[in-house]
Amino acid sequence: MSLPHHVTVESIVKRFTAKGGDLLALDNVTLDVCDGEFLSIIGVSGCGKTTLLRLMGGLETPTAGKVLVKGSEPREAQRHKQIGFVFQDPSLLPWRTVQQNVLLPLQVNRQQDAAGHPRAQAILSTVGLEEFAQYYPHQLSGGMKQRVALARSLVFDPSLLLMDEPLGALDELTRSAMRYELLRIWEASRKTVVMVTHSIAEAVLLSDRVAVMTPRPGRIADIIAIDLPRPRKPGIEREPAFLDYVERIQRLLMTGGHGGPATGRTTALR
Amino acid sequence: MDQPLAEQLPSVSAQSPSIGRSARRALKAAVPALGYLIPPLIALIIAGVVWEFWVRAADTPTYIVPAPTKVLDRFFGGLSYFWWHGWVTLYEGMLGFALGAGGAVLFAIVMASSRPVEKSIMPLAILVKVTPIVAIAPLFTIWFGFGSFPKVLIAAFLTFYPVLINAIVGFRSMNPGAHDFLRSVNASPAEIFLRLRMPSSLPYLFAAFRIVIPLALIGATVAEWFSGDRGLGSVIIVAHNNLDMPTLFSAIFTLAIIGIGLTMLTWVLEKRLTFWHESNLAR
Ligand SMILES: Nc1ncnc2c1ncn2[C@@H]1O[C@H](COP(=O)(O)OP(=O)(O)OP(=O)(O)O)[C@@H](O)[C@H]1O
Ligand SMILES: [Mg+2]
Repeated sequence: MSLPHHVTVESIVKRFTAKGGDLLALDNVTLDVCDGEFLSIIGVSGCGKTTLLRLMGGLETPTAGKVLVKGSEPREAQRHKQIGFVFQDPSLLPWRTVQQNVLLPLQVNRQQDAAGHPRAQAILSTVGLEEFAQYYPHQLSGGMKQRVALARSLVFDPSLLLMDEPLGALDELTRSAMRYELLRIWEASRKTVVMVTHSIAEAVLLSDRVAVMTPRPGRIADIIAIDLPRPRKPGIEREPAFLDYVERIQRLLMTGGHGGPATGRTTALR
Repeated sequence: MDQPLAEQLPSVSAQSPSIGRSARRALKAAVPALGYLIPPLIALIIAGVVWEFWVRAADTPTYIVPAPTKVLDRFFGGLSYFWWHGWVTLYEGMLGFALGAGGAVLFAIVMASSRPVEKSIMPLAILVKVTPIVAIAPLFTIWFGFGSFPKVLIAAFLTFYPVLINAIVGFRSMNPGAHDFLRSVNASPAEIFLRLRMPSSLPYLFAAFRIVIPLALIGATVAEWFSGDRGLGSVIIVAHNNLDMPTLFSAIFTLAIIGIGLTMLTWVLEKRLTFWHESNLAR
């Protein structure tokens, strides 16, 4: 891809110091995310996907190496509200209604204006929750909460969307419907998206490229470009080209990127 | 919606039409309150009847244990008297509570934001805690005279420590994901405090209030034993010296009513402001 880089991850090492000893979470990770690209990160549980995403969003500082978002520190992108985070757990404010939760990022730094409400309502209908605007998080299902978290990150229109298993809490049916919903939202807005997922099919369906990580310490085993035509329509999952990609990624995961025998650790993967 | 106070707005029935909403809300709050009130009331009446018969049968003199009827007679005969003194004690206790809790929250804000500050202030706070405040009460009379101030001060001291401890824990007990999200959209520490830390701390604060509000009332009452001629504490001491048991029991009865009233008020407020907390969602 010859597009300009939106996120640059350069020789990142991330070491956590804990009482029980140091833990090397990421070992020399280098990765570029192009402008407007949909990139998925896939790897076994505990390999450092969340850590990598948090580094890109400026929520964690690298032990060595550097992360640049649009050429400057991630903190700079935060300052301009250019990063939308969807966390592994929805992390909504329980005393706020769905609508108030979605309005939260607009209220921060007093940026909410008259357009805030209709905008929140429009985003809520995009994620299929317009009837639940006045509900509280404890009145929602896990998947609905996750969709509120998604709406909360879309409402202020960040150019970079970092999503940590955004569809993880959904049932298989809703999940595949939401995949196409995500696809539609992304194809309309062309944000730069980095998504962590455990589903290979999901990664292939949505992404321009899939980064496969090795088990801990996390390294990039390989980056696979998905050359499937867009817009991608339901039914594409059964096409041979699609299945080829799925199998390739599966094989990479099973060998841990080393070409060795399967470790069995991949049973955690769907 | 833009001010942080809106964070705490309760909603009992999100989808109901706005007509009669506040009335329904009041009813919803009142019905469980009645449910909590009626059974102990029945128990109290039974105890009173037994007590009455026992005092009459044993012919116990009034200066040792008065019959409930005599106490009620005195109480309703001097309603305005007990109400006036009760108001003094209530006022002193609650002013002390407000000062102590307000001070504790301010200290907690500073202490929760920095471990070194916490470490340097905490020993002093513990010193306040382990000092037997009641033993200092006579000293306060010498320093601050016979007015309300020493009573307010003692109530404030009793309030301070429990609120401080719970507020510090409360300000730190926030959902880490929500904190990360706010950071990622450039929320300032002040915004994080108002929109996340403060609301998150409410269940902890209320847990402290439940302990500390009756304590403030006790503090004010005990302080009144030592000086002054106002408040239920001084009524109790004078009645005690005169062996006027009906008056003494009436004063205790008044204190109990005030205590119950405050506890219920706290309870209703807590339910409205922390309706979202796990402790209120358990079915
Ligand atoms: N704050 C932390 N302190 C210490 N160790 C941490 C911390 N955060 C993550 N780790 C460690 O870093 C490693 C990678 O964690 P990470 O959360 O990035 O994994 P993950 O790939 O997202 O896993 P999953 O798929 O289960 O979410 C884990 O071994 C974890 O124990
Ligand atoms: Mg993770």
